[in-house]
Amino acid sequence: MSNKWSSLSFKLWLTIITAIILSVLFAYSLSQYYYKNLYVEKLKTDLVNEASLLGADYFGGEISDEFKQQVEWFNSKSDSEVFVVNNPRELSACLPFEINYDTLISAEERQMLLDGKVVEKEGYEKRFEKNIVAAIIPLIDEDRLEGIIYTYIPVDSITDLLKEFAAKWMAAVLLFLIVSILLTTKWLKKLVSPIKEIETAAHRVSEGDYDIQIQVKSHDEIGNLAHAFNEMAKSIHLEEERKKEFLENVAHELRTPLSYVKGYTQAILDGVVKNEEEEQKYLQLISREAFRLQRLVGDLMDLSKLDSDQFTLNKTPIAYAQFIEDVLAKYEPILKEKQLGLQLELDPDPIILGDEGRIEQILHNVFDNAVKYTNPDGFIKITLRQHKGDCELIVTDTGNGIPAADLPYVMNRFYRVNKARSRFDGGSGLGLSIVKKLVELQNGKIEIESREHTGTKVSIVLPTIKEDWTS
Amino acid sequence: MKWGVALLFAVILLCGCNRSDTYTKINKDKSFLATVNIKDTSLTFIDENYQPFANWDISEPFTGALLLADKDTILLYGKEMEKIQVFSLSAGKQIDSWEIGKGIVNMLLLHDGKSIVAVNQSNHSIYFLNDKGEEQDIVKVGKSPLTVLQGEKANRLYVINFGDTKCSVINLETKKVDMEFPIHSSSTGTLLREEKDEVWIGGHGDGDQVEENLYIYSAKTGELKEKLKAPTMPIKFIENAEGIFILSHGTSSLYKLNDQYEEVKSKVVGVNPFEMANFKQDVIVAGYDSDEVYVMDAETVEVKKTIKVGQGPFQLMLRE
Repeated sequence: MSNKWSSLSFKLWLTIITAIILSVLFAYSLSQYYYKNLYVEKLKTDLVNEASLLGADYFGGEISDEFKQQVEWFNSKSDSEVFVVNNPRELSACLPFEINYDTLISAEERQMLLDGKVVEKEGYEKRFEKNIVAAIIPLIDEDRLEGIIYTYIPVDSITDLLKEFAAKWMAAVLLFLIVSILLTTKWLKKLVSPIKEIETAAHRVSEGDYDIQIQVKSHDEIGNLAHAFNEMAKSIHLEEERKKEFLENVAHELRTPLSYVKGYTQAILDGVVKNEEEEQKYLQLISREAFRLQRLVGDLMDLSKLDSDQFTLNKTPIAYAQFIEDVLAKYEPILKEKQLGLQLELDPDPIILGDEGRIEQILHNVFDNAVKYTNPDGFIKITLRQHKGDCELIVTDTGNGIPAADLPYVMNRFYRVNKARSRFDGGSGLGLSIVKKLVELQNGKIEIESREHTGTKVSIVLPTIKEDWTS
Repeated sequence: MKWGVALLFAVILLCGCNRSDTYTKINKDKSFLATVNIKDTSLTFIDENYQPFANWDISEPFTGALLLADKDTILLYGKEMEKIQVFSLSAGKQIDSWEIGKGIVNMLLLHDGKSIVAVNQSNHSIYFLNDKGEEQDIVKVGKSPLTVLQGEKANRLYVINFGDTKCSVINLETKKVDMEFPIHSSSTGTLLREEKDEVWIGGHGDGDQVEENLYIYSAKTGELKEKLKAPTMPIKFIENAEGIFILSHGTSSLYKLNDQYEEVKSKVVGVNPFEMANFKQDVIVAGYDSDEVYVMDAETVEVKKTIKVGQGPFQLMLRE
């Protein structure tokens, strides 16, 4: 139950209903305000004018019967009640004597009238037993309050009318509220239903059902949310697939060398080996596979570290050209052995900020591939160019190249162009994905272009340090 | 402790200051006419030449003042006042206060110059005080007593009960009500003519009926002797060598009658006048709503002078 009260739909419902009720109240107060300020004030002004016009016919002295008759005649023709009062008792003339008599005007009103001011009244008048709006003007002769002209309009009929109006109004408001509540509830249900769908879908995703897709009906924020949810579910699905594939690959990659190690070891133990030469050959095979295993595990560890946030780079400024030359020095024997030509075009200017060990790892991977897949008498060209803000290292070889169909996937984990062959090459299938990750970690990018049987071009762009830093 | 002492000191100082509020001192030998102004609770003193010479603005809600026999001490009383405040005119300050309680609406100094009558409306009683303010006797009378008159010869006190329809007559010897006679309600304004066996009583009227007449009763028996037309609301009567003067506040009229009760002169004077007095050879009328005092010629009933006083002059106090 408490869940229902704290739900978004209830909160929205409450907000809307509160807003409606407040608007209704505001409208009611406004109507009351207008009644008071426009209607009542207008009545007062009219009454004062009327009384003043009648009062203009009084010329002093004792109030004559003729004057009273005039006012009476006017009273018979007028909507308002008008009368003249000259009874001093009614005019509070005896007030200091505390006469036990309910006078028509109070002491304060008498004082106002004596000062020549008009008295305006509004509210219940005991004398007339009704609600009135009244105006009283003084009839003064030489400072003496000879009498007053009292004019009033009963507002009971108007009040009754207002009450009747209020009753009808209340009924209308009630009807309006009921309809509003019904419509609001229905509309909110419709509005909130996609959210509920998303909630259900999220629960299903958490239970492992990644195939779920929500039907996007609207194009508002909730529609966008549903859309984003679908995207999320899709990527989780993909990621899950990749993880599965990755695990399968790892298992597969581990199984092959392990079965070699196990097979040859068993052969030696079983005494299947005929001579020492054969045994030596088997041991070499075991050693090779063990090395492959070691490399594979090393690469997996690297990848795992790279994937985690804890991976840190120990960045230092590196004179890139010199660094490349130092790394290449190690390749001299193998180049000679494979009789590969090497052309260097290194711009000495670029200085990069990078982790020496990781940059070396990148270079080794790229150079290894170039050397590995270039046939004897082939040619490798290494170019380093300074651009504005970054530098580009291009390694071009005249190797086998990569088939166009495989090219987009070469940097995926465990992806091999030629699986059978590469296994014997000693690669783990993780090298390029590690390189890609390392380059990206150092804010660079890597691109591979290749044509089968012609060669491959690897381009690595890394940001350089600004000139002023070096100077 | 220090604070307590300081506070006590401050209170004493403040009380001291309050008590020692000083007003214009009035010489003992100076004749004056003073108005009790109840709207702004002040006293306006006017000299023999009808020049106002002092105004005492008093913070108490007093509605009346009484000059005692020493011609220097005045008592200020009011229905809402807990105490009667005693002032010295020559010292120009309050000198004492008498704790009597709320409800005092009128006071009268009896002809012996020592006994003071205080009319208490809160318990419908007449208090007899000595000149120290000590209660001597309390006599229960009719509802809401207001006006009191001393009949010197008969040694009686006539009490007109404003909220009742009877006049209570107290025997000043025994301090007992020894007679009551019926009168009209809302009665006020009296004149006692003992030698003619007459008590004149006016009034405001009953309900929305405005009193147009004054009534003359027998001072001895209380029997209604005569009814005189004096429109409207006759509430004050005085008599002097020129005749009898009747003040009707409803029409702000002053009537002058001769011995045969015939109207000799009449005059509209002031605005809602309540009070009238003989001062020297003149008749003085106070206009409650006009805040003015009118000096009338007793013979011609013409206004000789108009004097502006405080707001709401309701009573006149004289020293001649």
